[in-house]
Amino acid sequence: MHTDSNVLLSMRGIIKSYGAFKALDAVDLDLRHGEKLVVCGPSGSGKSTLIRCINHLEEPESGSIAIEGRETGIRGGELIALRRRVGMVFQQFNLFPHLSVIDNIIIGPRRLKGLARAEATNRGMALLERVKLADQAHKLPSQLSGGQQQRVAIARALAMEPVLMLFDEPTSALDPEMIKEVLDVILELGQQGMSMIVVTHEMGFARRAADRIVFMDKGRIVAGAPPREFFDNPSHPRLRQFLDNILGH
Amino acid sequence: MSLSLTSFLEVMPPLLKAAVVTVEISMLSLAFTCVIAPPLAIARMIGPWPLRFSVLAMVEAVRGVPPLVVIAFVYFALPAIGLTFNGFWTGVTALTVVGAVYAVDIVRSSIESLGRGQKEAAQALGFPVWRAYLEILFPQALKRILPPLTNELANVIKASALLSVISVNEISHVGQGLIFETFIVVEIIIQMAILYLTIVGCLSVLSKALERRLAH
Repeated sequence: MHTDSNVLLSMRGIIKSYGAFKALDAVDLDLRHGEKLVVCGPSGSGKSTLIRCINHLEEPESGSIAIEGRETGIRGGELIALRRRVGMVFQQFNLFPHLSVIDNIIIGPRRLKGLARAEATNRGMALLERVKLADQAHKLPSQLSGGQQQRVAIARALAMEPVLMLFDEPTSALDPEMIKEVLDVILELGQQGMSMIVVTHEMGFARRAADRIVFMDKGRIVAGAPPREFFDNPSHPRLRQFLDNILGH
Repeated sequence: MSLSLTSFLEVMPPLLKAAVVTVEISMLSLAFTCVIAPPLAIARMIGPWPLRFSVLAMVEAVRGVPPLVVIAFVYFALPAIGLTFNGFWTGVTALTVVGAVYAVDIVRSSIESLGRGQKEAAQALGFPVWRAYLEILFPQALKRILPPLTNELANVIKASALLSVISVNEISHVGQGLIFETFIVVEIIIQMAILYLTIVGCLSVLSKALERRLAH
């Protein structure tokens, strides 16, 4: 077990397969407090599975995951406690369509932390302010654009006051014009010191926002480096090919 | 055939009184159905296997027999294990069971149609899975549950006519009695039909109003 107090997340030997397909093949990954990590790689390389293992939306077959030195991978109460400290933003937003924007944000704090409505609403409005949607508080998600919905989803995750944020391709379902507004929010969050792991294909964002970028292929992390080195000096042939393909036109 | 207004009015008071009984039994059965169906549906989906299996067995068993058999079972068989109901409460119990087994499947299929993302979003926030179902998925599924559930509840109301076989003084039993007593036939049947239509109609109106409120 890691004793380094600077390590927020430590994953060791994570294996996950679907039938004969190895989605994760003995992955090791560490994240420091305040670190912003971008995970990229081709489809099916295991990026999403990797971050979904962190909050146990996927149960790894073997390996260990520790957050702040405490091993997770348990069931029941500890799993619930873990999920409350790790925020997740999904590709498809997954806002609750029957609740207004503000109710989406406060349902977690109210039901899970027992916050009073007034208190939760105050904090929720401050979060909406942060994602620049305070004027949309009483609309239903379906009345918002994709980019706005994703920003609400970010606010909803932040409302639980997580120590780590996971973004699972947060802009892949968005119109090109809305990608920037979402990435700007994530970028700002990073600048404020939030630890995060972002699975994305947005290489411009990765270059600007990430402290470190890792590249996955066939269920393994095959390269990892700070942005400059990652892009200018790709270490792995598969990564060079990937970068050629996505940056080459 | 000629209809007589005098006959019509003559049988009205006892039929209205019977309608009150039908409404009482229906309302209680519907209320109990709506209370027990969601937890049963959730137990059926994510409960530990003995619970899952019990609910499944109950649903399949009750769905496989006519409501009349359920009524007879509650009235004649349950006293053998010490549960004795009068006609009225036999009706409420039997119709609740009949309504609930259909409602369980309506609730289950509606929740399952929501897609995995909603469940995951709730779990990622830290809702234990059963609370995710109860507090987030079920309220969201209400809009899909309501129309088929209304159909089923209308069937439950109409099945209350079967309680005439155990002499509950609801519309059908009282109507039949009046026919033999007075030899007024058509006026009574028309009035019975109007009463059922009115009761089921109220349910439809209520359901439509609820559905509009759930628009999202």
